[in-house]
Amino acid sequence: MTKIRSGATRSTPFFFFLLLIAGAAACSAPQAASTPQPPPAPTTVSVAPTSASAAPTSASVAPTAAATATSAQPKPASGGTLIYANSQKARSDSMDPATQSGLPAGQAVWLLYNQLVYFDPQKGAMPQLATSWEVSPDGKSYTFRLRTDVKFHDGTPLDAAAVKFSLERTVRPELKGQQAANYLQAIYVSTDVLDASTVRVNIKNSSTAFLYQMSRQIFGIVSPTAVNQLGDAKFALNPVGSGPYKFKELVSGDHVTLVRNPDYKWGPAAFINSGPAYPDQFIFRYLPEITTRLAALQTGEVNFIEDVPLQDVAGLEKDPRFKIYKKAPAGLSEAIQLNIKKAPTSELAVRQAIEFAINKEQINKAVFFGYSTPTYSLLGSPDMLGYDASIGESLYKFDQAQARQILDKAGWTLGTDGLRRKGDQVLKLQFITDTTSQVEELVQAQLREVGMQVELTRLDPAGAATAWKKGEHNLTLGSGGIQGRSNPDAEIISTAYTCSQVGTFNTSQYCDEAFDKQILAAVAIQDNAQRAAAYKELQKAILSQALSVPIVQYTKIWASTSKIQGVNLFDPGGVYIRLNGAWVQP
Amino acid sequence: MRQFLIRRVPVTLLVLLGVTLGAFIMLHLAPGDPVLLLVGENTQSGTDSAEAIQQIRARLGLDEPLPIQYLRFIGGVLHGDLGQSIFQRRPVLNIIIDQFPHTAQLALAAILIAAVVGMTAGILAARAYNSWFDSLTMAAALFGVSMPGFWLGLMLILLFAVGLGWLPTSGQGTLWHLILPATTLGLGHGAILARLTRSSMLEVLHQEYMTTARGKGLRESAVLLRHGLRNAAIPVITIIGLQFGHMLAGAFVIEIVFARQGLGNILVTAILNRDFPVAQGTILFTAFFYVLTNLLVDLAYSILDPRVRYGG
Repeated sequence: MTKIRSGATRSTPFFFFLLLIAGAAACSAPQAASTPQPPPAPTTVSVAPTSASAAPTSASVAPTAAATATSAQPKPASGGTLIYANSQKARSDSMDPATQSGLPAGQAVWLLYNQLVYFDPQKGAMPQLATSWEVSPDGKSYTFRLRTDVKFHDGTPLDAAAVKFSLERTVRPELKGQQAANYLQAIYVSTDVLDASTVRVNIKNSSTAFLYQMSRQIFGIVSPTAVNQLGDAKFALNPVGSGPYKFKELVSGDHVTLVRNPDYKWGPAAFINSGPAYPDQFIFRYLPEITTRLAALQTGEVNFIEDVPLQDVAGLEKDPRFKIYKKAPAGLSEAIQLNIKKAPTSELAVRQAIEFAINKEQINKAVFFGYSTPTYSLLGSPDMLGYDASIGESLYKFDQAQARQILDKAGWTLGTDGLRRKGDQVLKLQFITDTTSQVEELVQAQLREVGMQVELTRLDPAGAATAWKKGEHNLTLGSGGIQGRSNPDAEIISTAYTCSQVGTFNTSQYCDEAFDKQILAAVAIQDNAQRAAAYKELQKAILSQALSVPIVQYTKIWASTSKIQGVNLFDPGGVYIRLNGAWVQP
Repeated sequence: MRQFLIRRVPVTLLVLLGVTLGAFIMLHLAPGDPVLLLVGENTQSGTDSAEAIQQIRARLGLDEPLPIQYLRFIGGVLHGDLGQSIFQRRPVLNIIIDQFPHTAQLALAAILIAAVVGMTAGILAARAYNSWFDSLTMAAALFGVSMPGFWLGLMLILLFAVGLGWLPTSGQGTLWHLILPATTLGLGHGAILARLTRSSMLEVLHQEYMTTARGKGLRESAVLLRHGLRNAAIPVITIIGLQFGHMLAGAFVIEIVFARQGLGNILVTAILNRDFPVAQGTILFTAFFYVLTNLLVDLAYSILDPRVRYGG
């Protein structure tokens, strides 16, 4: 939910640290944070992945052991424990795909269950539980042929009936408000079991987003036997799926422990390891404090962390005991949304002036330490269908003079105090956010340079959501939480700009029924090239209205000890790192 | 004693009722709607969010007038039911029961450290009044009071976990996991106790009965502890009681830094997300413990000081 996970919030005054050490006289001065206990330098050469600061596109992220002499990949070994430290806590502990609520339970859900398909941002839907599928000519029926060798963790077979069972329990009215229900309830008609391994899902209207949705962790197939035995509430805390790991233990707010599923052999080849997982155990720990998280990696208490403190990334990259992984998750870019219902951003000229006045490069350097990518695109990753940064760049290349000119022309004249006025009304903007990044302050300063006064209000998530719903903001960072959501399909645009989302995700409050229809039509196009063209048209419409100012394609950064091998960042969105093939070098 | 309790119990109940009302009003006055978060987190294209919001609000009973919601909450409490978490979909009481042992463990360990360190330092400083030791101890205490727990915790992690490798950085389970967070939480409170014990002892040390005790030929340690500390202890015990109550709810920052489970952690998360039942339930529960601790402190007076008698 937190959108910008800038690592810059940590303050580690080493001066005081040294003082403290001096105070604890007896101990022979340990060499600060960079030299902890754990194991001697590893034998394998494994170099930090290559996506250097210049252009960390998601294409270049897989860790490549190329840069140094020996690049012979060691052979995967079974055993050991992979301990992954999460930075965020889910609002719910549920590991039932139908009711799970984000990280870290959601991450366990990826490993506990399988979906009908998986999603490759470039190739689209790929076979997982379904070996193949057909779409009816009207686009409203999907017939999936299932693998016949898949067994749930409780030994029961995963068949067409289990698929029907899983989808039907998702659309129950009492689950309204849950991720899976919110999508499927709107579009679901019925599921027909054609035979034990063939199942047909009927939906209300043709939508290419359907296959992508079926690839999400919220549509993992559950064991009907287990659900019927345990009941929903118990099942959520004792999940039974068909994934590479089985559930072992959950300690709320502390950790989730999974153990290897020895029978697993139905993983897609693209997941690096299609057989049983290598580590004996997989533990997700919750370590919210960024400094503690890094410390736990340095002491070896965990061997994988997410959201590394940005100021420590360069140091870790040079340290042979650690590896760094970077990836820009697919979805929407980090952007400022402009509210068109509230003056003065109701004025197109003001919105366009803001577009020209934002210096993305400066924000990326100052807040993201240059690890993210400044962007003019609404889409967060170049992998996404319909990605085209030139749309925004040709419209609003950073130019303060241009911004001033537009404002002058629109009658906002510059006063002696450096602020612009129309009559006696000052050009004042309300900036309401729920993040703790420093993006806001930079935006405030940059807009001030062209004569706009920005009043910044930071609220907690619930307070901010209410303020946005009431439309009290002119600007907000992100769009009610979807920024951090992975969705490799540009369909995500629709979530932020349709009439039905005004008051929630649609923080620019833009509502145009013709545009709604244009979105639906675009999503329904089955041909990729044509759909890409349609998505570009949508982006052009949004940007020419100046509803959103893209700032950066946010790069998420992970670190592991160098003993961790086989990590695959290829994944829908990349927020969930794909760890099916990961193994711990003994 | 019995009469004292008979008088205290109704007052205690009134205090708790006041706490529930205060918490309820403040939570609901703060702008923020959990349903928007629920929907905001989950909405996909093609759904009508206004309709979804309406239905969820009705399901959670949030569409009713506030007085009705409050009475419903109180009615539940009287039946031992604190309601269901909006986000967790679990009974609030279960969540509290899960988390409380962690908080209690941390608070107990911390108060032990605070009391031992603080009172020892205070007694020694009072005895060596105006010496270099006194100044040094009080300077250290001032430092301890002023140091933010957050910062101290991180420094201890860097020193003892990363630097020396003696203790784990975070988590829970063993005694080793408890040392750093309990020290972090305990030192600040210990510093307050040190200053308080010192001044309280100084007052007592000049009393004539101290001279009498020494005159009887008692050992110095016995003089200090049996005659000195026992008389100086009442304000100190009061503060320890308050501190303990404070730790139950106030350990949030420590819990975050050391990634510990606990009531502070769930309370702050609940407030941020406006998970009303969890926030209300946790506040009521902590208030209950706070009141209980205070009651025990009051009772402890009569044991420490026979002149204090309840009843009559």
